[in-house]
Amino acid sequence: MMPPARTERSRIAAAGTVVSVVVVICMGAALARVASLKTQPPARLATVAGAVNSEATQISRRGQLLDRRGRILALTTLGWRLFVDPSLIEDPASMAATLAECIGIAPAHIERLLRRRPGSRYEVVAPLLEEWQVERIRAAALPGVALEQIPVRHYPHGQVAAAILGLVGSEHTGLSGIEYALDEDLAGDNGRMVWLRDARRRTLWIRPDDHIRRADGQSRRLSIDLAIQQLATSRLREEIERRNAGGGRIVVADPRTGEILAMADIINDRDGWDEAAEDSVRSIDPRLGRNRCLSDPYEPGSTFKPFIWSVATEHGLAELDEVLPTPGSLPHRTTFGRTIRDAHYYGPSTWRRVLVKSMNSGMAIVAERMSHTQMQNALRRFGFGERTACGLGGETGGIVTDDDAWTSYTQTSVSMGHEIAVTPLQMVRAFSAFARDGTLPALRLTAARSGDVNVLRRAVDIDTATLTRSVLGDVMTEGTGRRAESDRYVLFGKSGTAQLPRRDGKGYHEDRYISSFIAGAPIESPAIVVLCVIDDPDKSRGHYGGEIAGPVVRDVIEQTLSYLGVQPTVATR
Amino acid sequence: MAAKCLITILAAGLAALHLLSIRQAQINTVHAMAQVHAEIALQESHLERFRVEIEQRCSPVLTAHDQLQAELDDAPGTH
Repeated sequence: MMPPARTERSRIAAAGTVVSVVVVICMGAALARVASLKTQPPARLATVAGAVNSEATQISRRGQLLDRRGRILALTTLGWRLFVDPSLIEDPASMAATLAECIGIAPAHIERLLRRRPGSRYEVVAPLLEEWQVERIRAAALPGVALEQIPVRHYPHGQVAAAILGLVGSEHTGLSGIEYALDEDLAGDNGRMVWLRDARRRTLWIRPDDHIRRADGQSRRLSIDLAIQQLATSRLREEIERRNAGGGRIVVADPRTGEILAMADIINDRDGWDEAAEDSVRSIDPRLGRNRCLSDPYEPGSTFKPFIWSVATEHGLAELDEVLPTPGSLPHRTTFGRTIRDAHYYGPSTWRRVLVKSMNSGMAIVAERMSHTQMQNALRRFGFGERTACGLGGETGGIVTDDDAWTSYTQTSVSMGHEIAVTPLQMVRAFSAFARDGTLPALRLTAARSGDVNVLRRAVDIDTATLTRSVLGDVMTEGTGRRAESDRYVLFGKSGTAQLPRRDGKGYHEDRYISSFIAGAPIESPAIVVLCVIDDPDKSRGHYGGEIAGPVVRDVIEQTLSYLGVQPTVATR
Repeated sequence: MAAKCLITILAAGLAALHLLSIRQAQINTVHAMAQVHAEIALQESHLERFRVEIEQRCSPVLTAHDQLQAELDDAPGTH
């Protein structure tokens, strides 16, 4: 008989041997099972054993467009699109009824989509769903029905500045306006992620190499101020309706920086008026329409006189107080026999009075003292015939007679703002020289940093610019700008009334006009320049630039300066 | 010899279990991270919607003109 201690040890050894054998057998069995699953998986598991990776595109956000004060003009969010795979749907009628209940669309329409292309595996049922629709679709978990994430561009302020902002297309790339011009900066790069998942689609692992982060587009701040844009647009619209005009354009700019603060272009469709301005694309989407402030040149008429007046003064071709032989009753005849008519005859007048009273005869007399080259250079110095390159596409450079075709007739016509066509942006840029030190600022639609001004060239010297500004101030009190005089700010400006050219190119309409007014303020230290052009107003309701466009410019200047916090200057004058 | 084998197998088994638990913890973390990212994306999209709504409600289209006109009307010496 064995002693009890030895018996105990034997039992432990035997038990240990049994446990280890069991453990080894279990582990061996587990190894064999793993090998078997890996090499010959059963059909039930084969579907989830292979494809364990999922891939997703991370949609980048297009950059925001902001106004100069940081208001969001355009913003991208993500939305959901509903599509179906018709090949997976056995009963289109029943599916259409179910989907219709989920998203509130007519079942007949959905069924038509499901049956439209039998071979198709992708049929969009709703291009953009509301949040409640997304929730219902998710809850329904219908076979062959899926949601797809898409970027959606929002313009929270509706149609304000629509023609400036433009729009994006179905691929979320810019099609027109700023969206197109800044597309490279605004567009982002989509990200991509591949991840390991289990059979229940839970994320198990993400390898760093398989994750490319999305890069959102850059946001850009524009020079446009939404409040100014809104007030300028509504005031312009009001005047167009009051005068039953064919349309109108308005530009508000800061001459100190060249920033365009507002720019609006309205076309008014009138029954029974031929040769009206047209833009058929606007009926498709106003954001696609051309922006006539930079695309369509017009004849500036007398608003052009200050440019020639200032250059002639700078060249010493006429002294401010020199009395010119302007006619007292009959039209003036030039040295080459052309008849020049004035709206009113004042008799011999000083060179200063010629501009204040907008006398065509006085301008023609001094234009004949200028050489053709001097006048052609004057146009170039003020940037006429040259695009402003403000940042938007579709801009034209206006129409300036070629040097080779320039005649004495052209010389006198141009001095009065005829035989030349300019865009509103060109006018604002050129007029800004008088609001500055005689230099021409580059116009821009993106906000300038403090002190960031791009000066193109000098148009006139500083003394001439200051003198011209002062005489333009007299235009507001003694001349054609009296109806646009402000009792809050001292303005300097000039009116213009040009005949509407016939579309067939055969001269001008006798009784149809383009009325315009351009002004800056305050005269002591100009902060804004505003140009308003009213196309083809109903003559029975007035047609002179100072009468129609002038009050628009005055109101916009008053409201804008008040909004910008500029103290009224009339009381301190 | 048997005892040595036994100890080795048990030690290796324990080590393997520990490694498995670490691996599982990693998987849980990644899964939680993925859920957090999904939640962030959802909240981001809510925020974007709020931004649009805020912009629409305080648009100068609705407010600026009336406010400016009222200021001008109230100002002394205006026409």
